[in-house]
Formats: sequence, C-alpha cells, structure tokens
Amino acid sequence: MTTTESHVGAVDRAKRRSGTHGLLQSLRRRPTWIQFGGPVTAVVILSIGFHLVSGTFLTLGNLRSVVEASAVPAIVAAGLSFVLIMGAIDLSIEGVMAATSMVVALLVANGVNGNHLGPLGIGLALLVAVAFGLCNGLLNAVLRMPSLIVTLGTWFIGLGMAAVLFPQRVPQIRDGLLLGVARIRILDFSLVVYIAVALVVAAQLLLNHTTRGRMIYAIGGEEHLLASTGIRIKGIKIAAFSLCGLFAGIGSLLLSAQLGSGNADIGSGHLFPAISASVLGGTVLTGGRGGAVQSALGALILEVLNNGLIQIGAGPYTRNIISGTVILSAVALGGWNRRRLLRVVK
Amino acid sequence: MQIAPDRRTTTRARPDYAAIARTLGPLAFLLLLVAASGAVAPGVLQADSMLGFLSDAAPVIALVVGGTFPILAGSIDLSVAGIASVTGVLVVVLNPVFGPWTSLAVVLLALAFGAVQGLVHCWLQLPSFIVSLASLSILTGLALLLSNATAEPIPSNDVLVGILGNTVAGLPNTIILLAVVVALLWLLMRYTGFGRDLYALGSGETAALMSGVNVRATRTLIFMLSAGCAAMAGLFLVSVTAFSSPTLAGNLLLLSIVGVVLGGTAISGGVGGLFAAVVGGLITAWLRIVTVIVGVAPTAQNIIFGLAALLAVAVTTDRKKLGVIK
Amino acid sequence: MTTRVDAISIRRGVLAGLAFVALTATRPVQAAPEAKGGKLVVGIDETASEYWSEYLQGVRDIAESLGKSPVVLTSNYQGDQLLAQLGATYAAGCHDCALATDPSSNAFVKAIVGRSAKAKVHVVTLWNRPEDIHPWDTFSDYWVAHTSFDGVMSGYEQAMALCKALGGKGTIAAIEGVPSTPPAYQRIRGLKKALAECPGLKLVDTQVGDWQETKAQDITRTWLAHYGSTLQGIFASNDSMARGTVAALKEKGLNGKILVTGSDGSNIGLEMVKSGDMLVTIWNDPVLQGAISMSLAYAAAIGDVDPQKLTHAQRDFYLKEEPVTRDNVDKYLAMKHDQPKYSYEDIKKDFWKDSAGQIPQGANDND
Repeated sequence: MTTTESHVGAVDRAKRRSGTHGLLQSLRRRPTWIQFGGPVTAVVILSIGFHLVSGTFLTLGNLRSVVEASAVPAIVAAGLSFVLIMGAIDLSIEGVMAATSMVVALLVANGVNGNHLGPLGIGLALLVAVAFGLCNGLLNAVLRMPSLIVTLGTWFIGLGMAAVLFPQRVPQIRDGLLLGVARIRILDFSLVVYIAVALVVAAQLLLNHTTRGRMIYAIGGEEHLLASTGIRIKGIKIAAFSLCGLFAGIGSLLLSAQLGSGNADIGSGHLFPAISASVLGGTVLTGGRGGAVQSALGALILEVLNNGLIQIGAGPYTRNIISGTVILSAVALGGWNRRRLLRVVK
Repeated sequence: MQIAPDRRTTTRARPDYAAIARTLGPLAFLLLLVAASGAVAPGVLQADSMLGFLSDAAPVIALVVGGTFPILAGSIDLSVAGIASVTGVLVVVLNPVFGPWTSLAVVLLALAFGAVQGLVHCWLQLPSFIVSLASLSILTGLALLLSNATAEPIPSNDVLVGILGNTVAGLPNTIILLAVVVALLWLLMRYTGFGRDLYALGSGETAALMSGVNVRATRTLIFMLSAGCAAMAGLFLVSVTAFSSPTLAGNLLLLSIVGVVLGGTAISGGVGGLFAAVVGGLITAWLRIVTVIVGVAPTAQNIIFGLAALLAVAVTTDRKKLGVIK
Repeated sequence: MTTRVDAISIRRGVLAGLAFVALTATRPVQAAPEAKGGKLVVGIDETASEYWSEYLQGVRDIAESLGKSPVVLTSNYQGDQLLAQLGATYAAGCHDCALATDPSSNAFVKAIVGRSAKAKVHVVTLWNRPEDIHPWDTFSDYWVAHTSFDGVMSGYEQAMALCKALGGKGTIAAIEGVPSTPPAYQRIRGLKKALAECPGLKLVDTQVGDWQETKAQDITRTWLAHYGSTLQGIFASNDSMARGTVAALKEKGLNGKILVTGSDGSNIGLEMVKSGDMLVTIWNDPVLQGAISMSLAYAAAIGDVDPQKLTHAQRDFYLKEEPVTRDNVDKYLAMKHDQPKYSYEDIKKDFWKDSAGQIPQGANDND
C-alpha cells in the first residue's frame, strides 16, 4: 500500500524543491482539470457501452436514478479522501454509519421512544460520527497506532454500539425535518443530491484552497520531511479523520432519512466501494494524490456500473465478477502512464 | 503506511531487552487471556477443550500465517477469504475431474491464482489493496456461480479432506498439517534468500531494488504463499463442516488482518514474522470465544472485540521501529 | 507544541479508559440454573434485527418459565464463529444442555450438530438444513428436530396475491435475498410456481438484494428508470427489502401504485400493509418459533421427549405462516403489540400444535 517514487525521482524532486521552500511550493499545487479527465472518460465510455447493449441506459430518467443512487456513496467517498490522501485509511465507515443511524433514529421523533429532539438530535448524531473520527485520529496521531488496525477496531465498536442501541423493533423516523430532506425535490432531484454536490465541492475547496487542506496532501507525500521541519501535523491528521467520520455520518443520516428508519445494517456495503471509488477517481492509496471530486466521480463510475449491469440484465452472480474485472482494468488503464521501471508499489 | 528510512537504525551489537520484551508481549497477552479464561471457566483448560479450540482456530491461523507474507512486504492481500470459500466449492465441483486428488489440485490452482495476482500487482504496478479487493469481488461471484449458491456435501473419496478430518494419537490432523506447513515456511524464510528479500522489500523497497533483489519474483511468491495458505484454510473449514458453501469463509478476512497485527507484525511491513503470526492467530481465535466464556452480553460482543483489538495493538506496537505511522 | 510527557500521559489516559470500558461492559456469569437440566444455549445471527430480537423473546419466555437465563451466542452470520463459541461453551462445562440455533448457513449444520452430539447436547436447528441430511439420519440421538418456515409457500402466496390484484395480467420484477440461504431460493421458487399458474404475470427481472433495505432501494430506482410505468408489481423477498422498495417508490410518488410484496410479517411490514404501501406480507411468528425450538431441545435434554420415538413429521417441520393483507392486518398488528408470553408447560402440551407439516423432499435443494 505504499508508493514511494523511485529513488532517482525523489532526488530529482528534492533538487527542484530544496527543502522547506520546495515543500511549501508543493503545498500550493492546484488541481488540474486533467485530473478529472480519466474518471469522466470512464463514465462516458461505460454509459455509451451500456446504452448500446440495453438501449435504455441514456434516458433522462435513468441518468437521474444513477445520480440519486450515487449521492450518498459520493459523500462517503469524498470524506474518505481526506484520510486516503494522507496515505492512511479509514475502515470504520460502516460502523460509524450504523451507530449514527441508530442514534439519530432514537433521538428524533420516532416510533419506539418518546424522544423528540429534532435538529438537536440530528446534531448529536453527527457529533457521534465526529467522535468516532476524532477517536480514530487521536489513536493514530497521538498514540501512534496504524490507522488500518485502529479503524478496524472502531468499525467493530460502531457495529456493537448500533447493536446495543437497537430496540426490540426497527425505530421508524417520524421527524419532519429529517424526512423532508429525502422528500423535498428541486428540479426533479431530491435535496440529497444537492447536499452531496455541496459537500463534495466544499471538501474539494477545503483540500485545495486552504493551507491545512494542502497540508493533507503534503502529509501524504512527504510526511517525514514535513515532520522534520517542525510543522505540527497531529492536529491536521485528527481533523482529517474527524471530517471523514462527519461525512460518513451525514451519509448515514441521508440514507436513514430516505428509508425513514434507523438501521444497524445501513453502512453495510459502503466501505470497499468507497475505497474503490477513490482509487478509480485517481486517489493513490499511499497518499499525496487525489481529491474529493475525483473520489465522487469514482462513486459515480461504480453506480453507472451497478445500474448498467442491471439494465443489461447481467445475472446476479456474474455481477460481482464483471464489476471486479472492470475496476481492475479501469485502475490499470488509469495508472498506466505512471508505470516506471523502479517505481515501488505496495 | 510508509517507513522513513532514517529511523530504522538497528543495533545488532547489544541485545535490546526492551525489544525482546515487546516481541514476547503478544505471547504474554495470549497467556494472560487464556489464564483469565481458565480462572472463570476451568473446563476450557482441559486437554480436550484445548485441542478442540486449536482445531477451530486452525483456519484463522492459516489465514493469518498466509496474510503475514504480503504484510511483511508492506502489501496486503484482501482476497484470502474469497480464495478459502472458492476452495471449498471447487473441491466439490472439480471432483468428477480430479477424483480423490481434487483438493490437492485445488491448492495448486490457488497457488497459480496467487501467482497471477502477484504478477498483476507488480507488473501493472497496481496497489495490492485494489488488486486483491477486485479479485475478492471476482472470487465471491465465482463461488456463487460455481456452486449455484448451494451447500454441497464434500465427496467422501477426497483423500486430503479425509485425512484432515481424522486424528493421529489424539491430535487432529489439521493441527499437525498446520504445524508442518508453518515449519516448512520457517525453513524457507530462514535458509533461502526469500526471507531476506521479503524483509528487505518491507523495510525499504527502493533500497532492495537497488541492491538487486528480484522484486517481481519475490512478490509473486509472496502472493502464492498467501493464496496457498488461504486454500489450506478453506480445506480446514470443509474438513470440519463436511459441506462446501459459497460463503464458507465469509468475514474471516477481517479476523485475519486483526490476527496479523495482534501478533506484532507491523502493518507497514518489515517487522514481524511467522512466530508473531501464529501467536496473533491464536489471540484472535481466543478473543472470538473469550466473550462467551466470560459471559459478555451478546449485543456488546462486537464492542469488546473491537476494544480488545485496540488495546492489544496499543500495547504491542513497537513504535520505535516505525518512523511515520499511517 | 505538545510535549512528549503530554503525549505519554494522554496515551496512558486513553489506555486506562479503554480498559475501564472493557471491564464495565462485561457482566458476571449467570447464577446456577434452578430448574432441571443444564444451560439453555441459543445461537442467533445478529442482535440488531427485529426478527432475532423477537426470536430471543420467545427463548427468554421459556427460560424464564424454567427459572433459567439463556446463554446467547451471536454468529454474525459466520458458521465457524458459532462453532468456536459452541466449543467454548461446551468446554466451560455443559451437562444436559439444550441448544436452539440457526447454523447460519447450510454448510455448518452437520458440524454444529456433530459438535453438540459429542458434548451430549440436544439440538434443534432453524432455517438452514442441507437437503440430504435430516435429524433422523445424522446424530439422531441429539439432533432432535429441524424447523423452518415454508419459503416456497411464502413466495407462492406473495406472487398469487400480485396475480390476483393485477387481475391475472401484469409485469413484475423480483428481489432475492442472500442467494445461498434456503429462504431466499425457496421464496423465488414459490414465485416461479405461482407464475406457472398465472401465465399472464410476466417476471421481467430478478436481482439480489441480500435482504437489505438500501440494496433493494437502489435496485428499485434502476428498475423505475428502466421499465417506467410498465412495471406493475415488485416481489421483495422479505419485509426489509420491501421497505427499501417502498422508499424508492415514495421518491417518485409511486408508493401504493406499484404493488409491493414482502415476507416475515415484521412490524414495519404490517404497518406498510395497513397504510397501503404494501400489498401483502407473509406472517410468521419468531416469538413462537423461539419458544417452540427452545422448548423442544430442552424437552429432549431432560427426557420429556425421546427423539428416537418421534416421527419424521415431528422432527423436520414447518411452522405455520399466513398471508397478511389489508383485510386482516389489524389482528396481526394487535398480536405484535401484545405478544403472548409462552411457558415451557404450555408448549409442552403439544409441541407441534403450530406445525404446518413435514418439510417436503427437495425443499432445501437449489435448482
């Protein structure tokens, strides 16, 4: 999971940057629109391919449904990109989503208990999500434990928390505000889609146009260099994990609103697709490259794939095989130009 | 998950007692865990129960041992549970072709699959995480497709599965085979260049490249070993269940990663080994049942498992050897 | 800048906190049982589900009536985890124990029954049984019985309700559960059986929703885009997926217009039937299932029942289930809200009072 550019490349870059000055320059790196080209091409090619086979893919109605379905995965993937760009990983997403969904369903007006906290309940649920991220960040940055195992542990804890909170029966959400989010439609798109777009754009702006955001790239690129310059990075790491938790929490709230109930399984099947989405969008798991918009585009690719495979009537078992193959080939093509003789990929 | 080379100064001259203590930390943790369980329920310490526990733990340990190789090299293999499940299915499906030797043929197939996976990973220069994630998806689909999503009895003429189901002098054959395989792997690591190359890849691949390590061959072998151990885990499972199923190994993937780390192998590579793998596998397997022995409320079991894993890693991670922790 | 001492003290603090939570979350082992016989052990798939909560309720009723407290094992849908936990439970000491469990998949049934027989524990299994082994031919002294709900009947009743409501002619699509579980393929088989009897009904697609609400929701969205208004009914294999389907329909204001069926008679399912969002659900009673399965295993453990003297129909049976439509939903909703409390003495009078007959041959084959 590590990509260290070749020794030669590192020396080259070091020459170009000459220490801290170069580091700061790399912080100012702007996103190039070219970075979005790959994922967008993939979406277009897949869409045309599916349309040629099914004849029904490129209809307005279907494209709408693809966008609707990819809204929450895009939010989750965008949140995850904060962590992935640092070269770390967050596996706890599904646990965070489960816990958040259960907490919100039990705090706002619901069919199980007498709570009626409204917006406060929603806020508290998001706080739980952020707390998970914060905890991941603290354990990783302060206690110096590898993020992979830390978040694996908090994944189980989140699932366990949802199980402990689960009342005898499924808690139905009756809170008008929360349900409204899923029901309000503007220009025939639900509010969820607009929230997703807003969050993804905000995440991208945060990553590319704030010093702290660019520090996240720097942490992914040259953490030891950064540490040796004395720049404080612990806080930024913790913030990145917290943001990832927050985004997963928001995703979970939106899904809960769409379903109208709290669900301990709500996160299931979101983690690995989110990672795949980020990679498809061009995020490199070792960090330093990628972005929120790219990850969101990756989520769109996966949704196009999901939808398209249903449209062309692929059998339920073969779907796994086809999507695995497509992901592999897409990543291989996307990374083809980065192949180098002495490049290290883990 | 990167290691800054400057921090990796090892002093060979003086024995580092703190480091030795830390290596033995997981073992101490395991012993403590077992002793505590024994105090609550003395029955679990009887020879019979221990043998039962060991054979239940065998699939997990096999997966942890296999998963240790990629992780030592700084990679990861997420496809192991998929391979274990497909192994079970293939033992049934391929029986008409290979007869009594089906399970051996399946292990060879798994090795070949692992080799392809390793080659794709290093030839196409794709991260192992995404390659093995994609093959997990493919394997899951294959298992369902080949089995038509049904559990089928394992043919009784299968030699290897038959042997695995038996005991020698009271010892389950699964444990014996596991011990033999671990011993062989230890010899491979100790007396061939492979072990040295493996650690070299894990601790600084650029340096390893420069010093002429055949990275491609080493990586291919790493993923072969991982897949081979996963297939063995699958055979262990079917020798117990006597049935194959497309979801046989389900979420053993997560347990196996927990196991690798709990034993003290660093997820960033370069630190750890087979001893750590076996200990880590045993800890994981024991954590899975300790909640039952101690009587944790069923809803809280996942929480306890998660906390225990965090605690164990917090205690056993050797932070000195790691520069940058991702 | 955080000093090193700070970092260390924070680290210690967090560790102490972890240890504290770990200690407080555990509770002492249950006190010694009072009634005859040993522990009552129950193996379920997960705790955070309405079905399993209700099932546990039935088990707890029985345990309470015997002055016992059940040992609950959670497999997380993982047969080998269940097996390991059973091993530990038996090793910790188990005399005349009784086990009621879902083996979590067909593949683990034989191993779980065998392990229990070795520890002289009497077992009743639920849901999962491979086609070719039965309680009377495999560890027959200890595998007391297997009980399930008729998936074929469930699927058939759902589809026939669709057929009737659409006037014998229409276009439908189906969502399947986790494909390797018997209820999933049985319910689809029931659907196909109904299609043969109702040739006007056209099944245009079947997708796998893994019993999950969100997956069913995504699938339905795609179908709505693909088939538009030509789709008239959606056969969701359980209530959770029916709920996801209805959620997707609501986004387009199509709930109640496109007919949705489900199965399990869960609280949410019943409420959706009442509100008209769902056409039909198939009621089965997890509380009763828990009470019966636990009682039967316990009865064999203390000798109230001799497994060898039971007929095949008593050792491999379906429990009753009923289609619930708007006409009779109130009865079931009332029953949900006011569950009867079961006791061992009640159930013992006739263990098979609610049996729907022996499980027919071939029911557990997937073809």
